[in-house]
Amino acid sequence: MSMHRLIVTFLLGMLFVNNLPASQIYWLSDIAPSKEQAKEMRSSHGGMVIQGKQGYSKKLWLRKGDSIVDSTYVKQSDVPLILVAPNASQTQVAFSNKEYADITYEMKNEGYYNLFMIDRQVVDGVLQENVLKNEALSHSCRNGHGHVKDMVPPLYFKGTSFDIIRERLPRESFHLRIGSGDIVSYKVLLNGKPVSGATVTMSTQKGWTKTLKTDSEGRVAFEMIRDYYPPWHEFKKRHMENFLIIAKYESNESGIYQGKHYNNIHYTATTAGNYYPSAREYKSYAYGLLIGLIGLTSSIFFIYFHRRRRANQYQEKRLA
Amino acid sequence: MRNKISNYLNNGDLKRFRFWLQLSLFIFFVYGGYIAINIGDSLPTFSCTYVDGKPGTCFLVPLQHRMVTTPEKLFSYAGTAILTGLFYFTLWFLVFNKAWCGYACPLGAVQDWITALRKKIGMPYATYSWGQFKLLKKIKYILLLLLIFIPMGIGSGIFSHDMGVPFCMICPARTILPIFSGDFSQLTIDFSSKTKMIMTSLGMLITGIFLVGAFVKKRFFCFFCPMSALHYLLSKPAFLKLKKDGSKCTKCGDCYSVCDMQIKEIADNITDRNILQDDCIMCFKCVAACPEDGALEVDFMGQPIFEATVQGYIKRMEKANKNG
Repeated sequence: MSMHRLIVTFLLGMLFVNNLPASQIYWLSDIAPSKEQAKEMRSSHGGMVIQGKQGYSKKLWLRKGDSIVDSTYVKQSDVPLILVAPNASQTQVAFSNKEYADITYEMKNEGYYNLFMIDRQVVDGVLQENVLKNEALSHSCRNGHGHVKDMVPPLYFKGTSFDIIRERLPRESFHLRIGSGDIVSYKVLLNGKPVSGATVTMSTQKGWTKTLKTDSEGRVAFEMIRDYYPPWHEFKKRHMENFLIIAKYESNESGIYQGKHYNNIHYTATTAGNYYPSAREYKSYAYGLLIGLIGLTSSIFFIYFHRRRRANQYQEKRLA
Repeated sequence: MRNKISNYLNNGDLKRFRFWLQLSLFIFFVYGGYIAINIGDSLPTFSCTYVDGKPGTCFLVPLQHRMVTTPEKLFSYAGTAILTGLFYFTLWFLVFNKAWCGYACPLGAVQDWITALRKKIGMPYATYSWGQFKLLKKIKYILLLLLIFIPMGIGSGIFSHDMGVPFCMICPARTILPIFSGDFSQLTIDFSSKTKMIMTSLGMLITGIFLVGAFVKKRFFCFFCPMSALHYLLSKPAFLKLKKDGSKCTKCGDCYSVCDMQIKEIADNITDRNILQDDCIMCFKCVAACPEDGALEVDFMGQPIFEATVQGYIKRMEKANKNG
């Protein structure tokens, strides 16, 4: 389906759906609601996936709340979603609504899959536009790494008026694990252009929260906190914590949407991510160089004494 | 015309040609990726995946990754990926045969430069005894088997995933080549698990031994390189060949004395036409040092491209004497 047709179908479809209750924050999460459901998932590059015979699938749940800890799982939603694959193909998808409003899609190609859910409604003269976004990576080392570099940049999606984009780190690759101490920056776009003064809040799984305003380039940067202090023997470098990002912006544009007049637009965009302990916590240059030096010096001594032994002339022993 | 070209090649200065080609290919394999070159991940040389500016990837990396599977999957879709990779590897390999080691390998070039430094200092080089030679040459086959079976053990749950890419963890290319692009991060010990700690410690210990080994022994690491073992298994149908005419050989031993890899057969074997041995790196120093017309030659698809000649030998010797 062409991009324009898909977006038109998507927007027309939105006329006939039940919107999400207003004045609440919604987001898409890959954290399973129960231990049983978590069992079918495994950690992969970029987050949690379901491993099938044909490759990875991604499962996401619709959640309500402005922090990871307090968010609840939504049972049902018929708001449609758009899935943008790494090859830029777009498909309209929907929540299963079996037990929860969840969605599972196959990740057949390598690269980033972007899932968008756009919810618009006029409440008390305010157009509330909520954009829920999830960026999921599909990568298996079996497929090699030669093609990865070109696929690292983020998607700039034209199908949404408000968007939040995670900017790539200088060392970004498909193997990147955002670590404590890393500077993670986001760009907020309104109608494809950076917007200054938007409020962006990061809240982590353990409840740490920070709110910043975007600069003139629409950018905010968060330094990831260190909040993992287990006893050393229990330390896991793949210990994953999640964070939630909420971007908000208010505009005094007026207009009519679905026959209802509005004087303001309240934009909200949510996305989630994860972070790990910093490599600096478990990697040591000092020990590395020390062990290298041990290899080096012991080899030098071995060769020196080996050559000296061979160079020694035979000497006849005298008994008396 | 044909004679003129072959005379020009046969009288050529192989040492100079090799130095510049090695340097160019070293720059290509360490920095080529910065100018958006990408020649795939099935290369038959140490185009190390840990180097940021790599233009492609050493085949041993995807091989180890793809072997992380169960025996059942190996005979289904996982096997297809392995065979596809092996197919591209073979295509690359068939053209240049083991000259990938002698001319293209960046770690081989580093070893040759360390040897040049030793020569400058005037320190004598080391050789293995025949007994040591026979014993140590088996190591590369053992490493090849390990880099295939350890990942299979990971796939079957016998080993931890931290054992992933086991050969890369002990390969000096991983620790040394990234330094040339300003990345020192591979010189660390990873304390996140016992397996990682042991593997990275082993890697650093081998790096230390490598630096001294390459200083006293020519092409020290190539003797243990599993890539060299994999090359040899596929070398028979390759287009580039090293040939010997035993009837013209006087067993003077010049070829053996210049051989970085101490291959005795190059001088002793006067019966086999195809003289390539598993340890050979196809540097062709033996051809350049041979004083007998047509005793040794390099063929590409049956066409001789570099042949031992008396004239060429004398020219090269004169130049060597002139340069001291």
